[in-house]
Amino acid sequence: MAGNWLKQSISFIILVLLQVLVLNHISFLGYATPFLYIYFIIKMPIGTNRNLVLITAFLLGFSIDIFCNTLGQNAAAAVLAAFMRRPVQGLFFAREDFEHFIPSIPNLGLAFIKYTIVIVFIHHLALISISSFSYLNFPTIMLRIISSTLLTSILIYAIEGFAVKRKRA
Amino acid sequence: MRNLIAFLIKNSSWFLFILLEILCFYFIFQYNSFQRSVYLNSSNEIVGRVYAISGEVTSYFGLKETNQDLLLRNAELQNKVLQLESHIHDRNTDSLKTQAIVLDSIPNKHFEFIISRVINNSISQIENYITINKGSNEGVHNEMGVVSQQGIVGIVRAVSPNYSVVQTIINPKTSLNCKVKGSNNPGTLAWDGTDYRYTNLEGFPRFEKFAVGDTIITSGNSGIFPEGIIVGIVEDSKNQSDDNFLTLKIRLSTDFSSLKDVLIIKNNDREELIHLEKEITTNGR
Repeated sequence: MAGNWLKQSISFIILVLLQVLVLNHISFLGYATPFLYIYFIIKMPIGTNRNLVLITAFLLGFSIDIFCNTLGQNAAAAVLAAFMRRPVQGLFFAREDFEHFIPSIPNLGLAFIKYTIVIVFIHHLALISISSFSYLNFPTIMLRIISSTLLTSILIYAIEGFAVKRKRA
Repeated sequence: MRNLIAFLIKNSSWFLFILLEILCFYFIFQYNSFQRSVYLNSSNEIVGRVYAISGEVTSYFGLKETNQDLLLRNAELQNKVLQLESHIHDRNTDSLKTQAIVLDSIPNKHFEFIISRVINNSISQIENYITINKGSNEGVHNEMGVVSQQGIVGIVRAVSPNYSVVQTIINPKTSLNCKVKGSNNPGTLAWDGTDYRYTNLEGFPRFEKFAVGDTIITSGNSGIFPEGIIVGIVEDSKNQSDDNFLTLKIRLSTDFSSLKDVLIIKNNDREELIHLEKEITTNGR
């Protein structure tokens, strides 16, 4: 259990640093930016206490905000995504069967892919709307949300695919 | 009572969710004013330290380009020195003219520069800020102008002992008076939040002459920037809703995606200017 906590903390820190030092500088075609840190919320074990998920999401978003000078924006979006985690999971698979599993492609297959893209979409929808609703027009915001969602999801699937391959080898 | 507690526990995640969201939105609206959020933000020493380490690593990537830029810049300056030298020579031979021109025998430096390195850079956000590795210890203050080798960068908005945060011109909150080189009618520079390579000059009078390819420079009205710092090049123009003005699309001369070294402009007369302007407004009443 203690080892698990340590592992989780380390991946938390790595994801925050990766986000603020590398991914925030990506602006693909001037529209798409990956927000990979939400991967941490996606990968929390399915049976995790819902309040714990919410608080973790808040801390995660808040850490990103401190680095990005965007106090509250990432935190608000991450908390929303964390809150929607349970209902979205319920949509795609029977949660009771996977109580102690960490969501992944080998466990859930296609359901994981759908679950990920929906959570990422909810998070990006909230984040990009909050950060730019007063500056940009609606089509530009939608374009940003959709392109960023695709980019983040592709990144997550790539990481997942890499993990699957390593397990088999 | 027991029912109430049971209800609260059963729905605790709902309450927690609402509580956290309220907290977040409180932060968003309360701390939106940049000045107040400083103590939590990236001029904060710890965050600055992390960015400094990563900046240390990434600064090696662009050495070749930086070197090239410096050589070009050097050549340009060399040219200017030669021109000025010949100019001075001409003046000196004509002693009458010299008497008329040199009114102030003590050289007065209006603007000084502080060299600094960019340790964090953002172009993908809507409100873009950069962090630089000079702070109040080196004499950086709020509201100082920042330029790069290529052109204008932004204005210092927050300072800590060793770091500062610069609000760049690719930030919708920044507005700056600029003009077409060779004319005197200023327009306002305002970024629309889409492409970091372009910006718009709004409120440009329709009667004013300009051509695509003209250079846009700072007007020097604010006292933050001296007159004549290059902003960019006119790329296109379109009508504004108000018929008497045009909006010019400008290609920025500063490449924000590869910003490494910047100069902070220290205006030695700024305090005096502000003081003077304040005096007028208070006396006017």
